[in-house]
Amino acid sequence: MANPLRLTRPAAAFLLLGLAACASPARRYVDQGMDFGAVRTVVVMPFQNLSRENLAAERVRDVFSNMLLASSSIYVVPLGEVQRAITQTGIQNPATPGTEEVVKLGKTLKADAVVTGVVKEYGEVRSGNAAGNVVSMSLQMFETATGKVVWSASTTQGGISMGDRLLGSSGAPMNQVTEAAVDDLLAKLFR
Amino acid sequence: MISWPSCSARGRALGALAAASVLWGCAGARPAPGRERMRLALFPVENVSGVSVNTREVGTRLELELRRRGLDVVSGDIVEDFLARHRIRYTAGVDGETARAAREELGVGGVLVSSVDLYRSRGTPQFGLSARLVSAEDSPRILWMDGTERAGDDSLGLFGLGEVGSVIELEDAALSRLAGSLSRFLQGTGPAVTRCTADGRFEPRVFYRAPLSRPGPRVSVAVLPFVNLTGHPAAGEVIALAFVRELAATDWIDVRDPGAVRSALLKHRIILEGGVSHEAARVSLGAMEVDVVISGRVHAFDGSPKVEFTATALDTWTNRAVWQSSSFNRGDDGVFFFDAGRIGTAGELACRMVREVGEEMVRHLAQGRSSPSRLPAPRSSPDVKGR
Repeated sequence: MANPLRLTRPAAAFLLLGLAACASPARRYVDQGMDFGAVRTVVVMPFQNLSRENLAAERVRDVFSNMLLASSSIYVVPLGEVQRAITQTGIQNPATPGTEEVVKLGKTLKADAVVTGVVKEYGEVRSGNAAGNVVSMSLQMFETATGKVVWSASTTQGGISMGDRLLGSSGAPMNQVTEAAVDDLLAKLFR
Repeated sequence: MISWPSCSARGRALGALAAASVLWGCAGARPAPGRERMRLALFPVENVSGVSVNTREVGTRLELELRRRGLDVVSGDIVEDFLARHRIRYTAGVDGETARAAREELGVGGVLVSSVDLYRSRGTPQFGLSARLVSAEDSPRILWMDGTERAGDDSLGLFGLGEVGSVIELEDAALSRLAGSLSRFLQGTGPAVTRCTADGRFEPRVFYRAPLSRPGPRVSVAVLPFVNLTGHPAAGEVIALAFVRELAATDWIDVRDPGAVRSALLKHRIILEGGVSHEAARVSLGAMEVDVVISGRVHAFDGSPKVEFTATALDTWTNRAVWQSSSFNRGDDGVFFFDAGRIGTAGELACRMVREVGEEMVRHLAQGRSSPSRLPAPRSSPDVKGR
């Protein structure tokens, strides 16, 4: 009679391998030497917009700033003041500032960190009769003392679910999808 | 058997009670001192609707409505000459210099500024008008403010009998409503500020709040123009005015007139590029002596209707944000059956959204005030935006 363990072991190993392949990557980078508790004031720079929607970057930036501020653990410099500092310091491309520019901005606005972002997708996606809203974005946080990246993460939320396909519904509204995406990023930041 | 004397005594008592209640009712209808005969200057009507409107005609009809109610109005060539003499082109607000000059040269006690917020004559007609009375003092104050916005299919009723087919009808109703509201205010029987309808569907989804650094019994506020990122040319002004209206309804908040705010910003060459800045807050504290400045960004304002904006309030003493919120809503949010409760115009939707934000903001500011005995009095103005 065959030993049952002999069959179970390879099956278990195969299952583990399969699960490991299916698991989503963490999609974040954290500088282990950074003390995030010391970050009190943050500057949120204008986001880069790679989507078809013209105002997507500004919308997502506003929601992110507000939700970060509403977490009550970090103060976000008002966006008007950020714009003024960008003009004052003469930053050519605010969505992708260089190391020196980050340091200069930190000194001007008395901020501990600068956040930049890219909105990769924002809007409606269709598949057959089903439609849904999707947001895909990534963020980076720079320490203003050194100008180096201390945290980076990305997320994609929304899209067409099985329920949308079956019922032909249009999914969650855009603002809810955006909030879910920002929520996910904040969870990755504060984890 | 009926006892006649006792019946008559009861009748006399009832009669006396009725007379007392009538007299009590009349006591509330007494004109506010000095306001019932206030002379008003009617400034030309501004157009913020984004389309071409014959504002001169709207102004003339507004003047007629006011005169019909016995108000003493200075308008037409006299006001045009006054504006030309002082080189005043902006008539959507009143600053200190203009108010003083109007008092001295036109002999008026207040200036009535009004604007057409919405105008659509083709398809389903739509019309919106707002107005406010600003005192002709060196530091102008908002004395009265009201507004109305309607679409022809707002109240269709049974078999669509309530549908309004022409914009003129909507215009007449709006002019009559505003003139009546102003007249009642001047007679002391109406509220100073009529707020929009409270609607829990349009509460801000995310907001941040922090305590004021120098809480006092009164809080002075300047609402700066909102940065407009939409295709509507005056969405920022519409949202800013809605905030002015909402906050002016609270008796312990002093809201500076948008004309005075604009004048201070121009004088100090402040440009609100991406939103409210520390510099704008400093200037507001220095020039207008306000504790809080409010501004924000408007992302969507269209006729579908859909409105999205962010509001930020800065404490001018510390340059720190004391409030920030994001709001996004559609006219059919929370509507499930037969369009019941659907909002037809972007202005009305924005007004209700701003009311929800303002209410939360006022509640927060009230908590931080220094004297608990002077908590906000119950609002005298009605909660429903009459139509």
